[in-house]
Amino acid sequence: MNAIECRDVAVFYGRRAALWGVTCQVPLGCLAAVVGPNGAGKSTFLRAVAGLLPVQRGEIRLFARPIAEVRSRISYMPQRESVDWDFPLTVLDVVLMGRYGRLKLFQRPGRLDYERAWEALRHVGMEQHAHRQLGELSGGQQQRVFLARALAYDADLYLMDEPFAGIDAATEQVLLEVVHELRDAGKTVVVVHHDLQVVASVFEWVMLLNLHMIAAGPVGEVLTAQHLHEAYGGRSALLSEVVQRVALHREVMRRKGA
Amino acid sequence: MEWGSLFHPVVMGVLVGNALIAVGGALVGTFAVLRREALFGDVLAHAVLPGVGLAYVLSHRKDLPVLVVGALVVALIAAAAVDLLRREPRLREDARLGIVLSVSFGLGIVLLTALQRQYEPQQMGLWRFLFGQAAVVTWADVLLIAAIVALIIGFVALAFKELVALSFDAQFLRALPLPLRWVEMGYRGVLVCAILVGVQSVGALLMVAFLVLPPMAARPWVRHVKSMVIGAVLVSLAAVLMGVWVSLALPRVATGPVIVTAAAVVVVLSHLFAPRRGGLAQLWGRAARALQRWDEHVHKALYRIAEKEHSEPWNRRRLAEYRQQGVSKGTVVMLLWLWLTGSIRWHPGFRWSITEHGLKKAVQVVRRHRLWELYLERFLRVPPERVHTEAELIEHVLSPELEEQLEQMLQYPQHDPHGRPIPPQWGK
Repeated sequence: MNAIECRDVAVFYGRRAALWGVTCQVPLGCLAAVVGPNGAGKSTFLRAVAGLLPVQRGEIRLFARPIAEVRSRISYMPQRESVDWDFPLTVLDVVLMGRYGRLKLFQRPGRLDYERAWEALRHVGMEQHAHRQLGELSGGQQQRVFLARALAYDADLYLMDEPFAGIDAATEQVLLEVVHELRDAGKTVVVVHHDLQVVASVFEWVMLLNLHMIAAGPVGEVLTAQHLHEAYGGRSALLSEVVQRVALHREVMRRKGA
Repeated sequence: MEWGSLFHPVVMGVLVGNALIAVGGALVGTFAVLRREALFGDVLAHAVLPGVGLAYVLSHRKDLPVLVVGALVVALIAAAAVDLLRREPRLREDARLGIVLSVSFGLGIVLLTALQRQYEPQQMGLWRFLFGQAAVVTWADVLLIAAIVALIIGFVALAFKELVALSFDAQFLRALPLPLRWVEMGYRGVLVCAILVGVQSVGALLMVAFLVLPPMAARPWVRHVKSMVIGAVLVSLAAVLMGVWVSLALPRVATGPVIVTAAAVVVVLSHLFAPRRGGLAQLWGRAARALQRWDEHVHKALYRIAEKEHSEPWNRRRLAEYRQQGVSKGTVVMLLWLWLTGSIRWHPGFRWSITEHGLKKAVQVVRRHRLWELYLERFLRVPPERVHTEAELIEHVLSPELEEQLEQMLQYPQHDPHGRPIPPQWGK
């Protein structure tokens, strides 16, 4: 069984296509990276998999089920820059949010939830900062808080958007350790990454994206000179033009995809 | 308006009514501010106007409950219109809000003026929704307001956890298996409720102030959302008390605008005097840092003298010769400062020598300066003639920990790029 299976997925923002014809799989229990140039649709892909964006065409299945049925098994970690870190909350408050998915609406976190939150904080080496305000954290510490929150949820599939961007060496070490531990525990981890060197040495599975999925599979097969040229040598003008035209016929497109 | 005192029953009614309105506004407003969508509240407030107009046209009654229902319906329609416009990605959020706000407000004015032609204007009581009439809140109104505010308090208490999390990181929360639609709908509901009760008091134009000002006044003082909510409520209560009291003293002045003005004054004072984040605290911090830089430069001069003349006392002109950056003038002031802070000792004939305390400080600055010069030359490949000016700034910002790291990286060096000795750490 695959953790992620995408078949011919297209996502549009208004008339602008962000993803087109994306087909790929991620096997269960592997460490996968999503790479591609800026604006290639990496974050869009991750958000679509997390069920945060409507997919206009094609289908995404997680653990061989529709996303809505397996939300309790996926943990999404947004980009660090996507939130206001000058928010009046403490580190522990944010990590506890990782437990909200295990609670009912309006239910208060109980002792187990606090235990899990503290465990996650210790895991990323942030327990001494638990009661600090978010505004006092460095970039690396912010990333660790997000990581702890994802860990506190205790999911089977972790989707991490650019966790390695702008962090210190110590945090990078923690992140690498944690993703390896998760993989060893049988979890699937998908990380949006921008450093091809790290991807080649750390990850087992790579998805090379630029509007469409150029290649997805084991690192050795995907990161070839040919594929990289296709991904980074500029987006295919022909494909872009065709997709822009397709956007005008969305009704037709939808019927086909259904 | 001859009311006598604050404890007159009519005045009490006004006070209690407005206090309740302010509490509701502050509670919901805290989240509106944290979610960065305060202007959305402004849109809803302006949509109240066509709502009351329509309710009057349909029912020919001007009882508050009837008007409130009309306002509620139209405000929700306005909110839906904003949502609809959000589907058009080429339109920016400010444009969407601007469109809905002005269109609904325009409609409201059209309706109200048309009604005014048809009926006796003084019978209408509808214009109070435009400018508000905080001073005519009756005890009957208070009951309705109290019920609505109780609803708001109840919802915020119930959904506090979700409201906070949605304000901080909605994306993360939406990926969870939670029926958040109910929370979002509830939030929108209480936002509309808070605005509805507020508009008749302060008016559609000023309502957004009740939402935004109290949380903004509380923000620089608090470290947690919980205290921000409490702070916002306290600020809003204080503003109401001030507003009612001022309009007692000046009977011709409208109460609502006075409340808003009072809240604005609190916001300004709060942002001036708040610790750490406040304007004065920041100014003080800047001044303290400038003093520190100056002090450290002077000590560097003392060190250079001590380096050349050991413990021999020297006079004022000797110090003036070591003009460092920022130490060019006022050697008398300098000497006085050094003497008062215990860095130099007085000798007969107005001669001076450095004390142990002064030397300790001087060694620290010189060490940091010369270590950084070396680091610049070795690691950042800055030519030796340029390292000094760079180090003049960095010497003030290095912490003991960084200093130690630096020394380690440079493998405990003896001399800076100019060949001057780097003094060992004090006490070693």
